[in-house]
This record gives sequence, C-alpha cells and structure tokens, in this order.
Amino acid sequence: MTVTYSSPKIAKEMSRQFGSSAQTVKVEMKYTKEVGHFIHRVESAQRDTVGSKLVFK
Amino acid sequence: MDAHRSVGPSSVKYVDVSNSFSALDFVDDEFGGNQAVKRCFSLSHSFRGKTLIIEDIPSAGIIDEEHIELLQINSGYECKDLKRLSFWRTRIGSPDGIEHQTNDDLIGYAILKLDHLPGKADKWHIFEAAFKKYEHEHNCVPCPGNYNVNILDKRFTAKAILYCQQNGLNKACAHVALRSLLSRLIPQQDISYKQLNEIAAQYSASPYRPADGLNIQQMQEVLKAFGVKYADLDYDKISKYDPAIRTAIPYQKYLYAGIESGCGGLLGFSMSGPQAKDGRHIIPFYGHTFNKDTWAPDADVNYFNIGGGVGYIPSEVWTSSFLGHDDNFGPNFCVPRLYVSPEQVQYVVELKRGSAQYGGIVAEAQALQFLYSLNPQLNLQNVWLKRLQYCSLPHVQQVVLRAICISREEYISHLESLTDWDNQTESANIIDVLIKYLPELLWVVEVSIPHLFPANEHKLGEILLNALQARDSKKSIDYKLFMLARFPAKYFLLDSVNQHGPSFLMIPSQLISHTPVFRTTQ
Repeated sequence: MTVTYSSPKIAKEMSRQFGSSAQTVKVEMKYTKEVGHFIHRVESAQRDTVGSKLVFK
Repeated sequence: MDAHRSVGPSSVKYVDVSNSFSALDFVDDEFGGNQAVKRCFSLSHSFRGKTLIIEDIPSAGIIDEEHIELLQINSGYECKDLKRLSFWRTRIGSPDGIEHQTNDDLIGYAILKLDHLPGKADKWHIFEAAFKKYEHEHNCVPCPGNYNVNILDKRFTAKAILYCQQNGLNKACAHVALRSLLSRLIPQQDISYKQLNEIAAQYSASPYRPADGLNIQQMQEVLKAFGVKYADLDYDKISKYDPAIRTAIPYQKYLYAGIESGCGGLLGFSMSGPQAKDGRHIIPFYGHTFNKDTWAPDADVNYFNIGGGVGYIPSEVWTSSFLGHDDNFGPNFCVPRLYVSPEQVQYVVELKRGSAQYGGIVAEAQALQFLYSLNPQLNLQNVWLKRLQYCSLPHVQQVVLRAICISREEYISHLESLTDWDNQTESANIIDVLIKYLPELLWVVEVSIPHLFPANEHKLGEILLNALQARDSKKSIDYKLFMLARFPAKYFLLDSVNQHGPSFLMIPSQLISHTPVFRTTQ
C-alpha cells in the first residue's frame, strides 16, 4: 500500500497531542505570481534540455 | 568492482619524495610529463608526503574490460605498462614497512596506464586516482566515497572522490566526469567505461565513437540507466529563446545544491584562454570551501532575485570556491565560484539524492514563499523571531537560505541532536510524531540571517518539503510539498486549504533560539 505523507496528517496528530497550546491561523500566501513564474521558468528550461545534442569532449 | 584495485604487484619500488626529490623531473622522465600526474605529486607534497611506492600490476576487472573495448576500437592497441602509485606521509622502505601503515598515512593512490597505438607516441594517462581532501575545516566534501585499494597486498581505504582522466580513445571528459561522481552514488560502487559506452551507443545518430565525447542526451541516459536523478539545464539551447537565462538561473545554484546534498554536479563550458581548443569541456564538482569573512554577501550582486523584487541571500555566497577535478590537469582543484563566467557555461547538472523529484533551486524558491507568507505570524515576544520577522519583511528580504536534500533519519537525528543557544532541546513527543509522519526523503531549506549564518554556522529553523512528491506544474502553489516550518519557539503545519487560502496549525517548540546548521558527513 502506498503511504501518502502530508502536513495535515502531522497537524492532526500534533493537534491531538498539544490540545490547547496548538493554535490555527489563516495565512495569506504572498508572491504567488513571482514564485510561480520563477519555478515555471526553471521547469520549462529543464524540460527543454531533455534530449539535447550538445557535445562535450 | 574493486578487482582492479586489489591485484598484487609483480614488482615494487620505493622512492623517497622528501627533501631534494624533484617531482617535475621525475614525472617528465617516467610519465611523459603528464600534467595530471604532476598534480598528484603536488597533492602529496601538500600533505608533506615522504614516500612514493610504485607497484607494477597486472590488469584486472574493469581495466581488463577496457583493454577488450580498446582492442575492438583499434586492433593494434596495447597496454604497455600499468602502475599503481601510492603516496605516504611516512617513510617506508621495505615490504615490512607497510604493515605498520594505516589509512591515515595514505595520502592517495593513482593507477597509471601507458597506452600504445601503432604509429603514435605511447601516452600515459591516469585510469583513476583518489586523494584525501585538505584537512582544513572549511574545505567541505559531503559524503566522500570509500575506495578500497591493496598496496603491497595490504588493504587500505582511500576516503576521497575518484578522479579519472580521458585517453582520447574510449573515454572523453564527459565519460570520466560521470564515472567520477557515479562511483560513489550507485550500489555497485563503480562503473566501467564499457557499460557507459554501451548505453551511450544506443543514443547515437551516427556510428558511435567514444573519443568524440558524449552529448547531453547520452549523459542523461547514463544517469537514468544507473537510477541517478538529476536536474539539468542546457544554457546554450535555452538562451536562444530566453537570453537572460544565465543570470536568471545561475549555474552555481545547481552545483551548490548537488554538492550540499552529497551528490555533486557537472559543469559544461566552452574554453577560453591561449591554449583553448575548439569545443566544450565538462568537469565534476563535489565540494566547496566556506569563507565566513567573505565580503560578497554584503554586496547587492550576491542577493538572489527570483523576479518581481522577491529575493534572498543564498548560503552559497559564502562559498569562495567549488572543489572539483579537471581531467586535463588533475584532481582536487579549487575553482573560484565566480571564475567560470556565465557566458562560458553551456550546461549544468545537479545530481539529486535518491528519488528526489525536484532540485534545490525549486526547493529554495518554494520555501521562500512559505517563509515570507508566514512572516506576519512570527511572534515578536521571542527576540530571534523578531529578528527573523524583520529580515523577512517585504522591504528587507535579508534571509539566508540553504537547501539540502537528506533522509528522514538524517533529519530526525539532526533535530534530536540540536541544543539551542539557551541550552534547550526539542521535545521527544514532537520527534516521535515526525519519525512516524515525515516522508523518507526531504528537502530541508535552512533559514538563517546575516552574521548568524557565517559567524556561527547557525540557523533559526528550517522549512521541510517532501522531496519524493513530484511538483504539480499546473498549480501556482503545490501545498503537497510542504511538510512543516520550524522557527524559534514554534512549528507551522499545514492544517487545511480552501478557496480563501491555507490555514496553518502553530504548535510550540522547545527550541527557542538559534541552532547549528545540518552538517553532511565528511
């Protein structure tokens, strides 16, 4: 069976253990556009590198 | 795969290399002036080497395989000589002397071959060599290989990164660079050039000639065949439609991420200088130096801007040099981090740990977003959180990030070992949960601030990402990657995500101030 790891699973267990000392906060994600664009640029460049014929000797 | 290192000698010579010994004369006379062999003597000299043992050895294992391959390429090929050179810190003058030697006394070894082709001058090359790194604490080589070698029939282990030299016959720079890094990463602990050429030949449009080198596709297929994950970028190709790619995504970030994770990286570049030939060269990197007094981090040039005014200080700015081999010139060189100009760089490869699904550059960018987004939640009652909050404010952005890919066990062991500046350790309850719920492989993006990082090699926490989870490229934020963020006095865990954004669960941490950064085994 494939085990999926996720932060909410850890959060659930920690919440059970820490009870009242655990606190939930809403967070506004910043720089989504900038980070998304940067990662897309990296991934796109890496995809286009697949199968390149540039030779090194 | 140690057979070629384990054979016993047919004859032995002891050479006193201290005092008036001239390595340059010796190499000119005995080994055709080979530059890489001279470098081996220089390394021995740096360790105050006293004895050189020269053993004549028969071929075995992957050297035998190479001979068969060379005969297939040229029926007149002959290996006219094969020698094993070992360099020692101690004086050894007889077979009995070796019995008292330990691994610490061995500076390094080199296996040298003299190749003969009809009508051409005989030529020496180093089939392989392994030399210790310098012992300076700021000379970092994460996860060196252990190479077992028999000297006078006694087994020694050289802890090093394998160096290999091309011969212009069945191996070029790309072949030897790949073997250098792969030999310590794959379970078989070494690869033969025959294996490598068999893989490369399947991806050759014209008749395959190993001496002509390898193209990027062939290198990619070799890595895949050995199960080694990588992230790579062909600057030559991408720059044709994205001219700013070399500055937007610097090659140093790939090399540094591979090195810090203990796997290394490859750098392909065009040559410059008076002796430069046409064509491109590729060399392996496996370590770096650390200079805590470097001026560079205070200069704007080292601030890494991912775009739109969002950035941070990457920890590699305290790296003065990358440590690598150049098969033309020998093992264990320091190549200044900014020495190879971006315009010269054609290709870079970050070798990734295990089954990591994405590289260090993506991990850092993703962690940066979580850090900057969590900024308003940092509790100002803790002085270290206050400092971190200030450094991660939108108009400041002076956080230091260091991405390393490590196993869950390595991270847990690191967390258990941490004692903060106030002598606090982490709660056993938290560690017990993390052992159970963290994935097997993590990107740990350590978070620090200027002065604290270089002066103490300390951090204020880390953001953990699931390295085994492939990033969903259709999503602007892939929350599945995020595992947790640990900062002084608190952890952040992702609780839920809905159309209004994410909610994080905050729980207390017993670590309330700064702690040492993770150190990879050296």
